[in-house]
Amino acid sequence: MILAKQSESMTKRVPNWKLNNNIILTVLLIGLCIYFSTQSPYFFTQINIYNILIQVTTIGIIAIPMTYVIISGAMDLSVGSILGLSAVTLGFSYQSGVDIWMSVVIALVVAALAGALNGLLIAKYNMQAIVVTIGTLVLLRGVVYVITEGKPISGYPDAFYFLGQGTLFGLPFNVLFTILFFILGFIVMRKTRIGKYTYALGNNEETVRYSGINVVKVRFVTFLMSGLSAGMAGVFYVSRYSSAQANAGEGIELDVITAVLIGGTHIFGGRGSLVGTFLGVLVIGALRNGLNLMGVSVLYQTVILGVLILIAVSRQNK
Amino acid sequence: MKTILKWISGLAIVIGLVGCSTQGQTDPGNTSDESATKSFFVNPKSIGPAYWSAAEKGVEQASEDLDVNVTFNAPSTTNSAEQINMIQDMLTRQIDGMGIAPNDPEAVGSIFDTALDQGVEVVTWDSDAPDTNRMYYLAAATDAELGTQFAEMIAEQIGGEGKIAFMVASLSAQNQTAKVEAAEKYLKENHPNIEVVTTVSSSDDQQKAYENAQNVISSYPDLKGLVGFAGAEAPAAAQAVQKAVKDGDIDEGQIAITGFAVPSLVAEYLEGGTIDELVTWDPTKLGYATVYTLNKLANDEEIGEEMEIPSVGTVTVYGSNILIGTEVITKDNVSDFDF
Repeated sequence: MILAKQSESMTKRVPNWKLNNNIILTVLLIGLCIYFSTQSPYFFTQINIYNILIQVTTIGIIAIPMTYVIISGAMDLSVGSILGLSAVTLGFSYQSGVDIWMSVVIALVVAALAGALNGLLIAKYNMQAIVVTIGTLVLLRGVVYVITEGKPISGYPDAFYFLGQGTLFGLPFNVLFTILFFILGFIVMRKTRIGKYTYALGNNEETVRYSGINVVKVRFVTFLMSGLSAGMAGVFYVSRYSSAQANAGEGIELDVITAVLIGGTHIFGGRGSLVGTFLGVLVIGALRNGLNLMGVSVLYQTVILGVLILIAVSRQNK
Repeated sequence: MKTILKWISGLAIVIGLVGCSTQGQTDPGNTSDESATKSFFVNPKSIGPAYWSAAEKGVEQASEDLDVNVTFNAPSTTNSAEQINMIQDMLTRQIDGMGIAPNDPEAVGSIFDTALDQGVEVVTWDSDAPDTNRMYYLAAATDAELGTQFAEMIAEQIGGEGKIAFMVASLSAQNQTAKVEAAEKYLKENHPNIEVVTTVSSSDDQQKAYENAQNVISSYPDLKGLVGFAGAEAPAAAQAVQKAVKDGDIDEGQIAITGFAVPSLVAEYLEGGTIDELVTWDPTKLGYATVYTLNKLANDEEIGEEMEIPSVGTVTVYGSNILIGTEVITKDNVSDFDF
């Protein structure tokens, strides 16, 4: 019975449902924008739209592989700590005399290794994703504090600030990068086997395993990508804020997962889309920015975001 | 159809909440475009702690007295990235000035420059960002002044000689090391018979501070004084001393305690007689002075060497530092503070 239901939802109902969800999200986003522009004359200005886009790049970059991870029926809570690790690794390497671009590479490698550690424990040794990533969340944040001794690392060459503060073709570079990354993620999800296997894993891991697909590899790759992306977000973070602070990225996993869930991805996997995640990220960004512009206290903002999450998951009753 | 209804009801809830939440604000946002009244943004490190709530009261009072719009807002945690995003959002509102307590003094440099380019007055308060182009820094006193004041206080209480220990929140944070250095310098020059036997760090953890105090008391049986350089230290020291007295390890009154304190955390020890006096400042006044200074800057009024601020008092200006002064708390006035 359950199997029949699942296969039905896998074949016929998925595209139909996704279409609905994304249309609803688009309507919600437009609704929010119209509401905020009636409340603040500064909302629909070019500079403010750019602000929103720049502010969501960190969440956006991490949310792309997170969508894969959640669709595959897993969860990665360690992304905030990996972001912090990447940021301070970059700062520490540069401070120790390594060339800035080499430092960026080192930071990305370290972040990818952290993601690989998650992937190894979860995919190869079959450990629970939530448990493992809570472990690495705490462990890596600890490492970050050890490296920095709690002090921010600042002072980078001007060329490096291009990543987080520069513009290309009139668009902020980090925004451009995030959009291209979304398109890439979308193509991989739609056109490659990895994308199809990710959905299949979330629907029924055993079936996928018995059909001869390398489950370990697919899962490992999703966590590796998650780590690497958190690392990229860390690099952009340092470039944008000119400083690598020990608590960089703390708590960002919640924002990222919120964006993915609002985007309609099912918490137990199997269903979801990157278009939804993209819209979810924009909804969060527009909401935060609009409420800030109206001078709404951050305490209420948290309540409002919580209401949104509850509505998003209320549709996941099956 | 059902899901659409859910989202619509959700949107209604959100808008409803926004409606409720803006009513309590000092600045309802849509009035900020009237150019006649100045509008400012005052940004603490986070929203929640009693210290910042007390500061908010001063900010609100000033906004009423001076007839200006002030938005008081910050992230819910001391998160530098979220703080900078919020500053960026406020800048698009074309505010006239902002007072920031930076979570990461290095990271705010570029957003400060953006603000200054737009003609927005920028000051820091409570915590400084000395390497940026901020115009003024508002605080109670400089770290050196505070350190010296702590040292004077302990020297007087223990009669100018004996062993004392320093308790700090961090061995590396600049606001802690600067105070310790000043205290050591003062003691060396004025009270050579006072020996600082150790400096212990709690990492801002009340429990750790308590354990530190216990260790110091048992390691140095002839200890005469404890100086707490951050909010968690003095109450922890008092708790440890009380326990040691109760256990019979030391005599009552053998160890004097002083330093910086959050009044609500030390009230019971002041009233119980374990602590005689401590140094604090009133965040309400600091908040008031921040808005007052921003208003002066926005109206192109000159800031001299001294400013008379109503309901704050006379503040001194050293270079780009505006100092409102500290207050000594004893058992008689501890209940006057509301943080």
